[in-house]
Amino acid sequence: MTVTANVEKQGYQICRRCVVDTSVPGHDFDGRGICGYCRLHDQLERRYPLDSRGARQLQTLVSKIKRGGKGRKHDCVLGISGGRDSTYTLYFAKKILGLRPIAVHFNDGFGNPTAGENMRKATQKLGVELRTITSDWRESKDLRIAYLKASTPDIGTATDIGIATALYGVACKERVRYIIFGQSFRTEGISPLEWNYLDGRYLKSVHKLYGTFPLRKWQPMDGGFNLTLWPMVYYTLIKRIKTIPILYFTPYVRVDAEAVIKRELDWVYPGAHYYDDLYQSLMTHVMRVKFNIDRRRSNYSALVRCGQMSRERALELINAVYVIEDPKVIDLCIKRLGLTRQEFDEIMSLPPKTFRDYKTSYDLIKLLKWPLKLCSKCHVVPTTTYDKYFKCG
Amino acid sequence: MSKKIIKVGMGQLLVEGGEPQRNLQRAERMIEDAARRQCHVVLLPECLDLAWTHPSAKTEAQPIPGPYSDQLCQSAQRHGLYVCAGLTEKDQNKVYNSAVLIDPAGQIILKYRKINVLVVGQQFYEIGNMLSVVETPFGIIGVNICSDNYMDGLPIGHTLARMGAQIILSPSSWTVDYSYTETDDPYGEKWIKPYSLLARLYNLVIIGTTSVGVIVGGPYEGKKMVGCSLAVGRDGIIGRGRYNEFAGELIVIEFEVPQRKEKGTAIGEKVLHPDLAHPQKAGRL
Repeated sequence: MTVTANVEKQGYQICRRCVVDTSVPGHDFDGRGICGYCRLHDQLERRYPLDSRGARQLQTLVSKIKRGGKGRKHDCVLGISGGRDSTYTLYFAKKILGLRPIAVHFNDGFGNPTAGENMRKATQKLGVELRTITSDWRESKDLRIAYLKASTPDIGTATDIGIATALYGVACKERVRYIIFGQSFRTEGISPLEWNYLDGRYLKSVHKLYGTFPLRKWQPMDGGFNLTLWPMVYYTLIKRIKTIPILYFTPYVRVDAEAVIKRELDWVYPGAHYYDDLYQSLMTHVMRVKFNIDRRRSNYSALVRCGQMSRERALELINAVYVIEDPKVIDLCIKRLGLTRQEFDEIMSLPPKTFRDYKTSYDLIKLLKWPLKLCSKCHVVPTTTYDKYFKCG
Repeated sequence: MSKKIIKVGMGQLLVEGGEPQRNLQRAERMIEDAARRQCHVVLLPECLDLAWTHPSAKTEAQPIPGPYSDQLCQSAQRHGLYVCAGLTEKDQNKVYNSAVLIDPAGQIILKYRKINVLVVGQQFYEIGNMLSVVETPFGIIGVNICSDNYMDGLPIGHTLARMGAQIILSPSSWTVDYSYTETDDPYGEKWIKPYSLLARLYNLVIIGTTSVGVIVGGPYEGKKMVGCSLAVGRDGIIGRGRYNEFAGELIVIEFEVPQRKEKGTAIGEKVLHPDLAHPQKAGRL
């Protein structure tokens, strides 16, 4: 199966360096035909160099984390999903950097069993304590349906917020000040804001309009799906928990990392990128069919920029429907949500919207532009938070 | 009488609600794994086809024998070991929470329908009306299911013991609230107490294997299964599964099959021995 090529559409443009095209919000092509995401990538490359300066930055950071964890069982919290990036990050943190992480997994009922096996094997082989934070299925199911009805492309927002509060909650409980996660701008890119807008107030307004099951209240160690302004202030400014994208500081090459974890941790490929979560199958389908969004444009562009994939190969792959859109798994997701096919089709036919159609904290975030820049720089919030809100559409 | 050593695989299986093919494929891999690790018997969880109290029980349950049990029978035969598994059984217009014991030739040698069905489960499952045990080269095996071993359901275990069971296999689906984590003791005394009581009283081994996974449908949404399967003999715990809620694991235990000489009223006489009748006084509890 092939997707309709956009090349014939009027006003169509594709970046001359990567595969970001006019379907990607925030493409912002310059006079040379280079997109805003490539320029952002270059800025990040300068901020996180992979030469001796980068090695020194990493060493300083690791020393800080170790110092902060002195006398405690763990010195950092590390989010894992059983996918390649997080599994390698766990290996890297424990075996290469000598950190003492507690691995935290957020289980919202859609985990890919292969990824689950990967987590079990990795934590056992590395001797890392695993903490699983499970959502109340009634809440997470309700939120997924609410987001589908809200008719916006960012239908994974609830999971992203659940992951964040799970990590912050365990950090609070274990009195750990560093959270490590396995995202890298070099291999994953930064998604456009409209594709993945993370905001606790937005979740609340979608839930208020379309939810049917009450959400439990926020508690520091049990955040649930609450990540509005106050919890963020509590975690980042009062508890002073920092988030570290450790892979930014190291030459992370996917194929090499995969070989390492296969050899050392008996890791098995879950079937596709993001496929540690079965719901990604349905998300990818909804995004493509309803919103004409192909997240691979963002992901593959990142790999093209850092030489881990050729531009030709990226274009060739994007021309076919992503393997993650497995009809059987899409059916599984619909069934698991308790929806009929007809109900799902009705949801698919709702007019597309974005987060801008709902109550959010976006105006406040825009007012806080400069404090947010400072917080990003100091790892108080994830490093790319500022870039995401102000440079990605 | 010569000592009989038996190796049992406790197949703590990931069970996804309403996904029989995916669950059965995993069960088959677990059986294969158990055979590779030279188990004589593999014990799989309760309702491993559709998951316990999943609404699909009403529409997707199959007869026994039927396609799901056939798949397990073929697997038992292919790998040459006993398989005990819980399945959702359809019998005309009724559905039962059942368990089968399959021999290495792939024949169902015992089928049991759960009796002590929880009230929340009664909208899905009818109550069984029969208990049985079966002779095997390893001794007499009895089968019951999960909450049959509740303290208030123990007459079922007592009866199996009176029927001569040396081993009781119990496919289970032990649930806890979603908020539990690896730092919690999921069951406390809930299972150890009744298991120990039966094991000590009758000198038998009782094994319960639970599923793992989040409950994604039905009246028990908000709960999950986290493993920690259990095997108990007269002298205490023989084996225990690890805490996990998203990945299955095979736990292999090996033990000497208890020899039980007493039959009929002689069991009652033994049970009335002060050490067993009042273990607290005798310092055994």
